[in-house]
Amino acid sequence: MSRSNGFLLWTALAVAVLLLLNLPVTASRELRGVLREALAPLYGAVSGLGLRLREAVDVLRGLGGHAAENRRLAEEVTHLRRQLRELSSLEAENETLRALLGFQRAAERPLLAARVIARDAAGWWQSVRIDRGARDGVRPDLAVITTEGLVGRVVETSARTADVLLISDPNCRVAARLPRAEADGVLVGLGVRPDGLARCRLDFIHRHLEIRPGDEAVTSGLGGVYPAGLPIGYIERVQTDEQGLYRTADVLPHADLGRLRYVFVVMASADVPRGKGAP
Amino acid sequence: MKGLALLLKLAAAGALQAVMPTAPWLGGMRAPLLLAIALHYSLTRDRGFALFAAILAGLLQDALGRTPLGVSSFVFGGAMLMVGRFRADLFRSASVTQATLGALTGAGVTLALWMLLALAGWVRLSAGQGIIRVLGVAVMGALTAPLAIRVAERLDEALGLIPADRR
Repeated sequence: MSRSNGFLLWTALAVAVLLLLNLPVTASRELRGVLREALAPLYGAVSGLGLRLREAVDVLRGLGGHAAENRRLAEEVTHLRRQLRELSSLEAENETLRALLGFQRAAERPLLAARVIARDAAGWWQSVRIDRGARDGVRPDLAVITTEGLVGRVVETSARTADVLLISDPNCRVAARLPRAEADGVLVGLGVRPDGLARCRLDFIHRHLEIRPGDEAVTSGLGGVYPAGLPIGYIERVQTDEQGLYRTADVLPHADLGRLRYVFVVMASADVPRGKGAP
Repeated sequence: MKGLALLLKLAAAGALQAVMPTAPWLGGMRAPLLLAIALHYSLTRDRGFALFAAILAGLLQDALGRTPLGVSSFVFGGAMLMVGRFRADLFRSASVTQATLGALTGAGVTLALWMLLALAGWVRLSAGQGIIRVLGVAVMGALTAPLAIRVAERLDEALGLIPADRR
């Protein structure tokens, strides 16, 4: 390879990259959409195959591990019974708080079921791709949940797919509230711990409010992206900066963000096309 | 046919890369299969076509994620031009060479992408998180590159696309 050929190739690379980086936003979005749409069926097939494989592995693992599983479940039942006794006394108080805070259940809004077909191809972002897109009425800034709690929000759509930024991503911000302490804060993603659990942190909690591990965090509805009252997770640990104005708290999300298979997009009523929709 | 084979390999690698499970202790990064396909072309084809393959692989990686289009193309292209420069001195068909190149290019590309994305404010990682990701991709690159290259070569053989210097 001669020196001039090498120079030509580096120049070609620079030109190609400059062209790509300077594409107009609409052209860039369209190109991205075309590539995603072209690969969507392949994604669906590969992720479906992966799901079946995982289920088969779970079944095989279950055959060998029933005794251990029984022991674990017995311990869990004991623990849960004790929790139930404690929680029943709090139930009445909880009902009152819900009424006072105008807690609105997410299920009152139309939900669109979707399957997770892929994750961010490189791993820089905590995001997933779902098999519902603009033609199903999905649009950016709609909240996405599972039966356990908040997952994230839609950030980009193509006709048949949508990208969901998870609450564990450092670029994701959620206006949150701790109903028991009547405290507001901003939830920020911190990525994933080495044990695979997603991490979040609740910032800007007023330092004089009493918050403690186990408090539930829900969306506050401020900012207009997430409907109020969607469960997010539990406070795991509280940190207080003696000199600071605020406290922060580590939050463990309810939803298992590392093993998402099916999710629900919380639609605005006007977004749901006829024949699609709530399960 | 050569172009069709390239598209087929990139589509399959892109789909697999996006759905394969990750290990959180390796930083949660994806196995660099698209990079392995670019590496395959860099080891077996002329530098022009290898650069084209690297740009396409980077473009696909950006399109399938949230990275702005062109960033990965730039980094993949640069890495593959560097590999192409030294390929005459390498035992290209040896698995050890491919694993080493998979690790080195994986680490180099991840480091470069981390720097570019962090400078632009698109990703926020601590130094520890970034280093774990670079090392994680190096490990996954070493494991997946020989396998991906072998599969790509088998496909080329099946399609009658063996490069002249390897017949």
